Amino acid sequence: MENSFRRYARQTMLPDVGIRGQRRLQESSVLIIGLGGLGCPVSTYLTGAGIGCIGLADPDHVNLHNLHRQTLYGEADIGKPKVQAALSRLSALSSETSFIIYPDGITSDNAVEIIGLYDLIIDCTDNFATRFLINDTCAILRRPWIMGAISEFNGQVAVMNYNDGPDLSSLYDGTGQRASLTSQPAATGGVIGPAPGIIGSIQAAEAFKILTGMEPALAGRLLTINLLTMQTQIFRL
Amino acid sequence: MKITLNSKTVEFGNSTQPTLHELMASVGVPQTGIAIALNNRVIRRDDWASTRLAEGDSVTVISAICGG
Repeated sequence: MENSFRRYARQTMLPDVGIRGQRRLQESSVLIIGLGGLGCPVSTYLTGAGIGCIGLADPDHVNLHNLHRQTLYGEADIGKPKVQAALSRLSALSSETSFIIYPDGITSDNAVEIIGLYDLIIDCTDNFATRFLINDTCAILRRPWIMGAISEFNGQVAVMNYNDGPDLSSLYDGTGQRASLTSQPAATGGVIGPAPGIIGSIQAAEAFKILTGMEPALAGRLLTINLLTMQTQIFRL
Repeated sequence: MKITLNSKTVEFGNSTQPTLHELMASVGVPQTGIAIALNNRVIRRDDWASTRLAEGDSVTVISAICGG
């Protein structure tokens, strides 16, 4: 208990968090879908914050070309399932969080069953098919979720379905739009490492606020950042 | 009239109140993979044709990205 108090002292000393906020974090469960560039900072900060239970879902294995941005992994992890390598690192970071791993990832067969177990879902996926699956499942189960997306020098974040607020259908509406996006393959284009580092950190900050009972700034809003110009914009959905 | 399109000032429209749909048609944005915001609010596609632009409006084309 004494160790636990010291571990979280620098966040519980914040009046907006306090011991009460810490207790809320310890009673919370979060599902992180995708353990790539976004999932690495999200899972690290949320484990550090003292979330009680974190679900880790990703069917992929660690690849050499992941290492420039996926900070949970090292050369010795190449070829290992990402859920296993992430579990090893995150368990070493904190024994105060329990982890459940989903090595098959989230699919239309398991989405309702798995997502239903968690208070908050963090979308760290690399494709629109899974992102729309998260969107639709969270709408049915009335779960808030935090979208993150990156490409090249750009990033986007939004808190979706917060108190039944707007979701992906408000951002990408219209006939044919969903079919066109979900038929795209997973992203394999260029990206700089800091892009998911920044966007994942914003996702973690919004998750922290939601779980401690503070208001997220991006509920029903899309934040975009261009790392070439450092211009950020916030759009209402 | 002068409007801002993706942070650049452009001259657009002969009619007094062109619509968002007319602007999108004139600049040739793709039909899918984007969202449009007018003065920092995303406008649903069904409303593009009925949304009239005014002097000084700011329109942003948001490209859909999906990397993780």
